[in-house]
Amino acid sequence: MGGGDGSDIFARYSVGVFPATYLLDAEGRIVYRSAGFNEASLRRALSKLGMN
Amino acid sequence: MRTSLLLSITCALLAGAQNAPKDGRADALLAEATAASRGAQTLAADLEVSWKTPGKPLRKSAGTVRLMKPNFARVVVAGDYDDLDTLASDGRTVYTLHDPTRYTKAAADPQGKNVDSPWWALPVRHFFTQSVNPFGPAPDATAKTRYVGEEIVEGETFQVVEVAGEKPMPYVARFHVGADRLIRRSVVEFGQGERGASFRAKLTNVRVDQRMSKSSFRYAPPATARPDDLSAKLLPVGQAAPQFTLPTPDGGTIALDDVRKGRKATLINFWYVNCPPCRREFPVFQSLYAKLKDRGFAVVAINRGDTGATRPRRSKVISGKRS
Repeated sequence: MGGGDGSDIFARYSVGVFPATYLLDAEGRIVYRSAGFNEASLRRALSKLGMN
Repeated sequence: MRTSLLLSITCALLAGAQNAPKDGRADALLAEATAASRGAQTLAADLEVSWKTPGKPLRKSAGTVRLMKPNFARVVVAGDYDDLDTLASDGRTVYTLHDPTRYTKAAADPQGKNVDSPWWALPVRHFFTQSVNPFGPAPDATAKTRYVGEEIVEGETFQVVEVAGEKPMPYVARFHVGADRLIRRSVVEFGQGERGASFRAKLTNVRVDQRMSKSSFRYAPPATARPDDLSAKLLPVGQAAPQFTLPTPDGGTIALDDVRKGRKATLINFWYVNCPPCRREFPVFQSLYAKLKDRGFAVVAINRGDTGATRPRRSKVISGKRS
């Protein structure tokens, strides 16, 4: 995508509610996503990437 | 809608974290309040919450709370707050019934940490693990405390303490401590004047250490309600994250590829200023980033700047930079 002001980024990431969080692995693939805040599941997802 | 990338909060955390000067009288009172909350086994009360945000009228909800250590809770409210009808913890599961048609559930934290809705109902949260830091259970060591004085409200005398902090964004909170030493009222304010937002909560008709049974906290969502899986609407796991290049508040740009390069894990967070759960996430992201950044972890926070008037003046700009 071009520079732009990025105003379509919410649509391209399908973000309709806030907060929304994605976790990407080293290859840039989505390995976890969450609408709303869920600390425990985020930490689990990080652990799977060796981050704990 | 203007978008900007706001920095991984890390800047705010790592820069100049030093303990603020303390007010001995305020701190002594807060210590007594904490002892009273931690010492109470059960609490029943009426709850009123209200909040005022820029451009919106004052909104209110009211209801009842019943709480029992270590993590049993039932909070029922009705009114303008449309994200909460009932919060119920039976000790194992916290159910949040947002409205009669949808609920979410999560494992109950053993100490009641996730009995936390509405987020600004600090007199409720303080019963379990909550400190006077509006952003989470852990105290904000950099916050300034100040004893304000006595105040008579609705015929009852309170001692008032003010707590002012900067992390993760500037706030001022005031707490009314009752003769029973419980925090009975709280006000959390962000910004000032027309741009300011304030969030109030109060407990009345408070009864401490009434006998309660675990079974009285059993809960099942109503038959009309369905589990609400908002995450299902997001991009699926396994898909490559869409590329982006976005402006940063300092006039530069940042591209996902640059952030990701050499990183084992990249967290992308979408948030906006007046979103309470977004605020609660920040301290967690901060501590994760501080702990994991040297091992290849990056955080990109993308702010929906649709209400520029409420954007905190001191927002810092992005991580991603590897400096």
